[in-house]
Amino acid sequence: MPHELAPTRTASRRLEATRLPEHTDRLYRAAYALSGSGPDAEDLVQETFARVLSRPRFVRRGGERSYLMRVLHNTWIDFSRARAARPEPAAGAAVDWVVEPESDPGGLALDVRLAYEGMRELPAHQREAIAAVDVLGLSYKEAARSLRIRQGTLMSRLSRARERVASYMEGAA
Amino acid sequence: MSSQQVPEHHRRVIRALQSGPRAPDRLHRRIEAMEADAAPRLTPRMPSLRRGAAPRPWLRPAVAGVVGALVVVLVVALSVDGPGRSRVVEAAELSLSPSTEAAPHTDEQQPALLRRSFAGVTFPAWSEKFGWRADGARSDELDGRETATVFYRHTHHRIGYTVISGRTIEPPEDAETLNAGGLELHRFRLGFQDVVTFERNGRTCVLSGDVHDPHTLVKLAAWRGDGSVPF
Repeated sequence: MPHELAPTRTASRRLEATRLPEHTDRLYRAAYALSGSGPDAEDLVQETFARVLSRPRFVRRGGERSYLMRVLHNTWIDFSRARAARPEPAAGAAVDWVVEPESDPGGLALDVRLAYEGMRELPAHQREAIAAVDVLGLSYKEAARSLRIRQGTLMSRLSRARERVASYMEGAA
Repeated sequence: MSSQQVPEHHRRVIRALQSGPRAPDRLHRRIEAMEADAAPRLTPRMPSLRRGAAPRPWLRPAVAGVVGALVVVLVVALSVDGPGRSRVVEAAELSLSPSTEAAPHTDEQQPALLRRSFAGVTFPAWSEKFGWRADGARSDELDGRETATVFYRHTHHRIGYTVISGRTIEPPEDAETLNAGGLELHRFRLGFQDVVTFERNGRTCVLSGDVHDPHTLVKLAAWRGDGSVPF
């Protein structure tokens, strides 16, 4: 099979540790979208970086965020299993919102809070899809690869997730 | 993704989600400290190049010889699959992924096997003998190779059994080599997971998961079901 190693190996390069902190905010947002809790999101992001930084990694060019999402997703699965034995954390614990209501005449601040509240109503697989694409900003292809699902499956989950969050926002506003 | 294809009420959701919370400063500081701590370990040590050094004519034949030798080594290396840690590791990481397919049933005619085969390898049925029951399955592609994984569950432990199509992959160099019942296995740790790799019918099989006793995976991998499980 002469084609086996070609496409991905040649496009891979060593992950540069110095470029990772620039992804912290987005990754935290995705972790918050998954967990619905500020403290859990912090733990998830820290554990994700600890795993990534534990040894040299090779990722596709421009694929750092996609790779981080995959590790975050795996970390989230582990956390979820561990959490099954613990009480649910207080939802909506204090987080540092970017848009504050007092400086937001357009109502975006309310939308942001409602959207993240709506995320908590979603089943896990829909939450993962919307966190990967709409929060972390991955392409469909990258997100599908990160979550190890087919692109069609991702798009279908994403569409249903957006629809449910939109309905939640509409109903709560 | 074209914005014209996204309905307005979905765009409102996307706008809101993209304006979500920022990471607290303390987390930024912790990540930067972790990065600073890890950078020396993760940065490859390259010999420094001496700027302005005069070319040395006597070095040219030696350099040509070294380059020639490297080409030969590269050609040989590409003709076999070398130590395949990254692919084996990716396969092991599948054990943390969700199932996307139903669990295969036990074959009533051959109770030591499941009714699922891939690349000439039939997955074993461990529920009767060991209490590990098939819990789900998924199919993936790793670097152009098809893989099939069956998940097994016992109490709250879950492991994944992945078969990788194509030629066998050499085990990672740091793996410990074991022999169980005549089967050669290679064992290593991946974070908090134990991983064993072995061959069945010329395919690389990867069994991984977070189990109490690391020998559990070896015992399961090497089980032959009184000759019913072909290797």
